[in-house]
Parts: sequence; structure tokens; C-alpha cells
Amino acid sequence: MNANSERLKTAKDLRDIFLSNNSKELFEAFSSLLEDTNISEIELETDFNYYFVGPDTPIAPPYASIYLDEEDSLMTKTTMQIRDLYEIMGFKNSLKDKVPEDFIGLELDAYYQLLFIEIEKEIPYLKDLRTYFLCEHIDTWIFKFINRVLEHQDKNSNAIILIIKKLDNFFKNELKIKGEIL
Amino acid sequence: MQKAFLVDSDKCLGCNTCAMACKNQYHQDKGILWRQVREIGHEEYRTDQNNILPSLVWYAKPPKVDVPAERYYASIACNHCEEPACVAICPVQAHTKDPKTGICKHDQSLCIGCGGCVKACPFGASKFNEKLGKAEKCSMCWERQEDGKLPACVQSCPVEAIQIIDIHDPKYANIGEKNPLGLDYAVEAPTKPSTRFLNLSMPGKTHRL
Amino acid sequence: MSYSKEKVESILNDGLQRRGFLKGLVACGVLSVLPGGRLLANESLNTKIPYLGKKSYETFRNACPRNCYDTCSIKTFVKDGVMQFIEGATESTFTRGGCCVKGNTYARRVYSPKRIKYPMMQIGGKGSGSWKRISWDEAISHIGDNLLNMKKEDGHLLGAALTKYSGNFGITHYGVEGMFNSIGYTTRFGGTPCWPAGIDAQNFDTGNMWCNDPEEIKDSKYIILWGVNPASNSIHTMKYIYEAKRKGAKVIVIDPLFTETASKANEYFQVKAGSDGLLALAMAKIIVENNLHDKKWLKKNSHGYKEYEKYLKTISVKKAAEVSGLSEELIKEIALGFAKADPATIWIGYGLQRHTNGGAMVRAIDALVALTGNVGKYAGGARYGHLNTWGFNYNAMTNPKPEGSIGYTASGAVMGDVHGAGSGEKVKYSDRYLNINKTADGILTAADPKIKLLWVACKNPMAQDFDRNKLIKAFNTIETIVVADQFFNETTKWADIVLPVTTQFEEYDVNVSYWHYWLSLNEQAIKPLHEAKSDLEIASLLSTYMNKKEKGSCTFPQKYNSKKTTIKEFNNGIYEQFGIKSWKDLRDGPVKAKAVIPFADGKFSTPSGKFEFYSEKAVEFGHTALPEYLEVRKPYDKYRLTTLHSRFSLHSQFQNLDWMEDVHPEPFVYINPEDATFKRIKTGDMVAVFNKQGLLRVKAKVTDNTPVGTFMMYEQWFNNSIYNVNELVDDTSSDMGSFKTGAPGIALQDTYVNVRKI
Repeated sequence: MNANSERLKTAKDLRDIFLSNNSKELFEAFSSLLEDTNISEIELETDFNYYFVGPDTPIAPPYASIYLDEEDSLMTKTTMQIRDLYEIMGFKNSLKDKVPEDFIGLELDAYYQLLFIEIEKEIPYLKDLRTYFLCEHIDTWIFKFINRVLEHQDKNSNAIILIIKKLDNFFKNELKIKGEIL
Repeated sequence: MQKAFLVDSDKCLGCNTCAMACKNQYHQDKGILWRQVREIGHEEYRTDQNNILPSLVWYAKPPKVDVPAERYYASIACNHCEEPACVAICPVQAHTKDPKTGICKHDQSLCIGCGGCVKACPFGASKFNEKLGKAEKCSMCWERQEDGKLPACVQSCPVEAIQIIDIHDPKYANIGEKNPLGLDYAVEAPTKPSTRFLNLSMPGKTHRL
Repeated sequence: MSYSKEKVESILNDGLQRRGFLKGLVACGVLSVLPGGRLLANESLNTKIPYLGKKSYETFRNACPRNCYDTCSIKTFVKDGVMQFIEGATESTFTRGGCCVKGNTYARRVYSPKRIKYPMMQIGGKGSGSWKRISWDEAISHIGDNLLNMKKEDGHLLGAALTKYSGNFGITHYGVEGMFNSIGYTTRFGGTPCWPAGIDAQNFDTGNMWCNDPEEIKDSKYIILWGVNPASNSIHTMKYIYEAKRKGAKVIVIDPLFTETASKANEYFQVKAGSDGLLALAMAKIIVENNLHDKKWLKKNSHGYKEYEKYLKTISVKKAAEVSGLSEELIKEIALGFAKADPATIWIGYGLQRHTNGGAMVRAIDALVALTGNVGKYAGGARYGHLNTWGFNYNAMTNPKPEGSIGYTASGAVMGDVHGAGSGEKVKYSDRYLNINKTADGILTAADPKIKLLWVACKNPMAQDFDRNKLIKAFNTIETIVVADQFFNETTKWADIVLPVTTQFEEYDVNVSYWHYWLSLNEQAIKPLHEAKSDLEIASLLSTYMNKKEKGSCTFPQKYNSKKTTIKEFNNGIYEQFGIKSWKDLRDGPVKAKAVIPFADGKFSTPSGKFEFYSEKAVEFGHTALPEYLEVRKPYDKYRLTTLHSRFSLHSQFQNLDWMEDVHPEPFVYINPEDATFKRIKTGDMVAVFNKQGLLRVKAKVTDNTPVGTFMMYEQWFNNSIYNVNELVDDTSSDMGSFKTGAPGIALQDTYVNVRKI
């Protein structure tokens, strides 16, 4: 597998992890991302919920606006900006008003799909928008989010750390090459 | 100045080049034509509210004419009225009348989709776009005109059946007719449509089998 | 920085730029290939485009390469590599800034999601609808192997056949014939469905087919539009007809139908189809009797006039009146009006010659024009068409056969409609020629070898050819059918391999017309969409593959460059004729040939060197020497069916686009009120129109545009509809066509049908 298809696969797996609806989906996506792990499905889900979902206040709410605007509110200014950006990219949010556009799962969805059409379909039309999205938006919050997780390693969750490390590497890489297609 | 379309049904071939030139220029959505080439003598005159003249007022219509089917036409877009109903009714000034040229312009980005203009226009010039939830219409290619070009329909007509005139110019003040023949059209609309029509003529003699 | 922050922010914040960007987004096809997730492709984008001012666009020169009199010169406006809109070139007095309803859909046609994107193979078999996407390599190797194996088995490639016609009349597209030339001797469908009878007729009479410049029409004093409908099919010529009218000329239309053009004439004469020849002879007789013929011109420039005059004495005007339905007084009125005007001209339509007596009728009309001294006159002439400006090099076409190629040994000159006369040289081998107007028959009867591979390009035989049920049967006997096209259509349905080709905006080419005298450069305005390739590129890929497998098996150039190929088409003849120094001059706009009046010098390319009323050549081909009256085909069913060309489509092109559906949603059969009453049919009723060939279900419209006893239908093809008038047409030949085009034409206007309400 060449470098581009690697990136694409990683992006897709990360997206699928954060967009998963149940433990089965989460586990499938996780197994695709990290080939050999000893984590169980139940353990993965409980750790995932502890960090990102609830029912207690999640350690690291996975929404850009939390790290850019207000700690305690969703659907803020950043969310609207991203909503607008998705519109220009040609997207329609199937979860509009239910899930904020700046939810990491949707942002990864957008990034993955845009990368896909460039790598697999060789249509460069949205490249400027994708790299803008990467450098002017994702860069501003993703590492704050990642650090939030890494600072709270009390749960001792290998699985989550592995996921976050993959996320970290992925975007560090993307930013290093400024999103270029190799 | 009041820029206006001069529509010549005598020259008009019914070829639809104009309607498509407009579509080629702006890429309107499916089913939406800002300019239509309408068949004289074969339009059904509607008298209900849900009709080609979605107006709240009942207007008199031009006399019917008995002409062969699919042979005589008038090309109609927006009539760029001197006292446009769309401008009067628009709550957000998406419709404006250019004080210099008299062109009735529509800015769809301001439109809130209230549908007022669609109902108020006696001629059905304002079309409602279901997909966008907004109205839209011919703005006489004012951007092209500002750039020194003719409106797309005028330029592309192969026989000059559509031209731009200034009906405030004494040369054109009394040109043609205010109403076409044989079309479902609002006669004596108080909006004072600027479009002027030159009537069709049939061959001097026809010898059928 | 791999992106510009300012650029992106202006797209986000500037309304005009944003809309433009969104339009480009839809146009580039992204929305249809997004993989999908929680974020889906937004189909309700505002995809309208604004006009952004001259400076925002890159402009290119293009031309419309369709089979159309008007061959428009186009100016294409491109932004960010995406075609935005077109205009007609203003430099051409003929195009004069506007195309037509069809040309104005090009921005939609190029980016239509219905365009074939990739090479495809119908793995479920012909007609199955089960398609697999294949790579170009796979497609080319499959075809190449097919051809090489055929050559190995048979020792030659006569089992490979090409049917190609006028889908793209750009000069470099003769490279398709060139591709077939370059692999060996093959089977070709020769002749033309279009205008062969008239071409022969004009060639018998003048030794050429060479009409005057249509822009002269404005100065004609008497114009007969005979079986031609320019208000529908040559809209750019209408302005000259109008100008003539304005200046006091008399414009008359002689036609079996009250056409769009008839509605603009000074006087309209409805005649029975197929009677035009006799009418012209009767008019000629009256002109001679009234001593209005141009004796001086006839003495100097004609051959066989005495015999013609003698023949005219045998013509009965009374009979002409009966046969044509026009009264003797009216025949006289036209004859005298035409003869007394100077100059006077007749425009002969192609529909007129699509009868079993079509060629003979054109000869009679030619004679009428010559009789009155209007041949070789400014604003005069018997106008039909010309090929006078088509003198390019045709490099792409003239590839030699590979060494050692074996071919057909029976006689039969190589013909087409552009490259006219066979040289008469005796050759050892030749291609095998079948009649393009009897394609089904040709395929079914070809033997030794039978057709094993058929390549279809620039043509849609399943929509345009006759006796379609026979054609389906014929297609099913061919092992491999390759179709190169832009859209899935009736023919691709029966293909084994489909190859996506480029539109004129995605390649270089050069274009001229068979009616006007302008020359247009066609530049590449945008990159080819998806995996589309030009017919020429396909040929060079095939050549590369075949030569790799077997060196020397294909002489087609292996390197493809449409710009270079186009430039190489120019020669000194073209430069001279158009008064340009280089092809580059055309980047500033189309150019018109230097004015020449055909036959003004009295030189005709006939055997006698004169206009031939009496043609020995015609006798050689089995016709009468004089333009004698030939009866038209007798009816074989209750009502005559006359089909005319719609302005909304060019055969099966354009009507399939949604933009066109907006202005022209559905077809009709047009029936005279008397016939409709008899059959209890009202406008809007669904009826079945049928005959021995087939059956068509279509809505009826009652109008007296068509006379009693004749139905009228427009020839075109709709989306999701089986409407096609060719369902009803058999493949009966017209009288002429073999002389100059290799095969007789098709008498498709001699079709008869019946109708019933359903």
C-alpha cells in the first residue's frame, strides 16, 4: 500500500471510530486501524465513553468549539463557521442540528471524503478548501483535544491512547506536508 | 431611460435560441426558464388564481387569434415594468429597479422566499425555485450590459427578433404594441410593462391542397 | 503554501465568487463521486452561475462540428478550467454572435452526468444491460487482439467493419476512417443517408455540387425555398431571406407541409410529395413557351439544350397540376415570376431528394435554374450544398495499408461523400464496401468473411437506420461491436465495448461548412472529462498496442497530439482560399473564403465542360439522359408519412439533455383535421402509427399544417422513450447516389402508415 492509500485508510478508520453508533461498529473500526490489540469490545467501549461520550462529563469532548470558543457550550460560533464551510465543500449534514458540524467525527468525515476524491478520483477541485480546513481550522484545536486526553491517563486505557496517538500522527503528518497529495 | 425588450413576432422563428441562450448563461435549475418562447394562438387562457399569471387581480387578456399551430411565437421574459409589482412587494429589497436604466434586478442572495413577487407579478416573470426555496427571474443581463455586451438572448437571436430599446427615447416611445396577440397576457396592467411587441404577419397567399 | 488563504476566504465571503465556485463544484463532477458518510453530497446547491465580467474568463475558439448547414463558430468562456457559457462568434457574419437552441446546450452537454465516463464492457452480452468498467489498456488490448487474431485466422481483416458518419464533422475526425485504413483492407459502410441522390443529380448537371454563398441570398429577387425548412434547420440563413424580402424580393415556399419556413414566406404552395420534378418541368415548359429563357447563356454554356427543349414539349402542364395538386394558373405564376426576376435562386432541400425519384427531381430543378440563366450568377444558383472549402490534407485519414495486406478483389471504387469521385484506377485490392443505407442487410448477407467486428463512431445506427428489428438481428450476429460515443444510447445498448469520446471542447480541430464559406479553428478549451479520449487518440493507442504485438500491423501514428494533427491539416490551398498566412490567424476568429461565384466562368466539370441538360454519364448509371419525369413510389398503406428534422435535436443528439426537455418535452404525430375526424382522434390522444415495418405510440396533434392524407412527425430521439420515426421506415433506395457516393440514397420520405387511437 502506498503512502496515499495509507493516509486514506487511516483517515477512514479514525472517522469510523468517532462516528460509530454502537460497540460493534467501534470495535470494527478500531480493529481496522490497529491490527493487533488485546483489547476487548466491552473494554474499548467503556474507555471510549469515559473519554468522549458520557454519561459523566467526558474527559475530552470531541468538538472543536469546546477548545476554541466556550468550554461549556456546543453549537457556537465555530460550529456555524464549519457548517458554512461544509456547504461550500458541497456537503449536506445528514445529522444537521442533531450533531454539531464541528464534532470530530464529522470533521474527520469531511477530511476523509475530500482526500478520497483527490486520491481515488483525481479531482483536485476542492484541494484548496481541504488544506485550508486542515491548516486554518483543524490545526487550531485538534492538538488541544489530543493533549486533553494525554493529560488524563488515569484510566490507563491503552486502546484510547493508541487511537489518540494515531490521530496525532495522522494530523502531524498531514500538516507537515501541508495536506499535499504525494 | 427605460430599457425594454422589443419583441418581433413577425421575425420570430420560434427557434428557442433565446430561451436556451439564457439557460446557457446562468444555468438555471431544471424546469426553470427565465425566458420562454410562447406559442401565439394556442395558449389556454386561465382565469383561476393558480395559473400562468399568478396574480391577485384578474386582468383582461389579448384577443385570441386563429393561426396555425406551432408557427407563430412571442419570446417573453421579464417585462421590466415602469412600476414593478415585485419591487413594491419585496420585503427585503431583493428586487430593485435601477434608477438609471430602468432594469428590474433580482438579487437571489437577499431573497427570503416569501413568494410575494411570484403572486404579485401580473406576468409570471418571477419564478419560484422549489429547490432553493427562493424566487428568481430575468434581470436583463444587467451585468453583461454593464460590461458593454448585449443580453444573452438579444445577442444570440439569429434574426434580431429581440432587441433592446429605450422607451423613453422619443424614437421608440410609440413603437409597436404594448400587448402581444393571442397570449395569456395581462392587458393594461398598472405595473406599466416596458416590453413592446411587433405583430406577426402571415404569408400574403397560401395555397393548400 | 499549497493553498491561498485569501483565495479561499474570498470564496467563502464573496457571494458572486461563492456561487461561481459552487457551480464549478457541480460541473467538475465531485458530487457524484463523493464516497459518502454522515456528510452527504448536497444536491440542492445553488448551481446557477453569475456573469463575472470579461476579465474573469479565458476565452477559446470552438466550432460546432455537427452535421448542419450553419456550422457555427463559437466563443467559449472558461473559468478555473470549467466551461461556463458560450456565445456565437461575432466575427462571422454568418454566425453573427449566436448559435442555436442546440448549440446553447453545450455547457450542459459537456458536463452531463449521463456522459460515458470510462471504457465499459457489456459482460452480460449485447442488450443485457450488465456493464463492467474496464481500463483503456484492457479495452484496447481486447480490440487489438481481436483484430490480430482475425488477421491470423483469415489472412486479412475484411471481417472488421466500420460504420461512421457525421456525428462529428471536424476535419481531424476523418482519422476514424484513417484508423481503419491503417490496419489493412476492411469492410466499410459507404455512401451516405443524407444527400446522395441530389449530389449525383448536381454532378450529372454541373460536374460538381457547388452552391453559391448563402449570404448572397439577400440580393436575390426571387427565392424559391423548395422542400427546405431553414426556419428550423438553417436559422442563420433566415436573416438573408428576411433582408431580401425587406428589399422587395419575392420569397416562395414549395413544400408538402406548411412548415416553419412557409409561415414566413410571401406565398406558400402546398404540393404533393414526390411531384416536384414534374412541377419544375412544367414550369420550364411555360418559361420556354413565353420566351423567357436565357438563350444567350444556354447557347454558350449548355450541352443538350435542344433535346431538353424537345422533351419539354411532351410535358403536360395539366398533368403536372394533377400530379402536384397545384393549379395550372399557380404553376404559371411561379414560372413567370421566377423567370422574370434577375437574379433568381432556388434552394433545394435534402428532404426533397429522399424519394425514389429524388435524384431525377433535383435534376429537373437544376435545369429550371439553368434555363433561366441563373447558374453562375451572383445571388442566383441551384443551391444544395458544396464541398469547396473542404480541401484540407486529411493526413489522419490517409494512412497506408500495412505491407502485405490482403483485401477485396471484386471491383468497386472507394467512395464517401467528401472524397467524391473514384480515381477510376484499377487496384489489386480494395476495401469491401457495403451500403450504409442498408446496414442490416449488409451485415446479414456479408459472407467470406462475415462481419466479426464492427466499429461504430460518430453515428447512432440503432436510432438512425432503417428496419431496426432487422438491425438488431444483424448486430446479434457480430462477435464484437465497439461503439465510440459521448452518451449511452440505442446503439451502445447493443455494443460489447463502449469507449468514451471527447466533445469538441476537449480537443483541437478545424471546421468548415457545406453551406457557408467560413473557416473556424476549434481550440481545446478544457481538459477531457473523466477518461474520455478523442477518436484520434483511440486510434493511436490501438496502433501502439498492435505494433507492440506485431510490428508493422498498424500504420496509424502512435503519438497523439490533437493540436499538431489539426495544424498539419492546413495547406497552401486553404491559406490562399481564405487569405490567411497561418492557422494562428484563426485564433482571432473565423475567416471567410474569398468570394467566388460557382460556374461564373462557364466552366463545368462535366464530360462536355458545359451544363448538361443531356447527360451521358447519367445513362451510364442507369438513369435517363435528360431530367425526365419519374413517378414517385406508389403508396403501400393508407397515409403518407412525412418526417422532418426538429430544431430541438440533431437526430439523436441534444434532446436527451434536461435543458432541452425544458423547452421541448415531447413528440407528436401531426394529423390533418379531416383525417383526425375520420379516425376520431383529438389533440392529446395517444395513437398508434404503424405499418409493415413497425409501430409507434405517440400523442396526436391535429393541425392543417399537414395536408389531408399525410401525417407529419419530427425525426428525433427522446430520453426514456421508444419514440423513433425510423421504426416505420424501410430501406427502399432512392434513384441516385451511386455515381458520387458509392451507393444509392434512401427514400425515407416515401413511407406510408396507418393510425388508430389507443
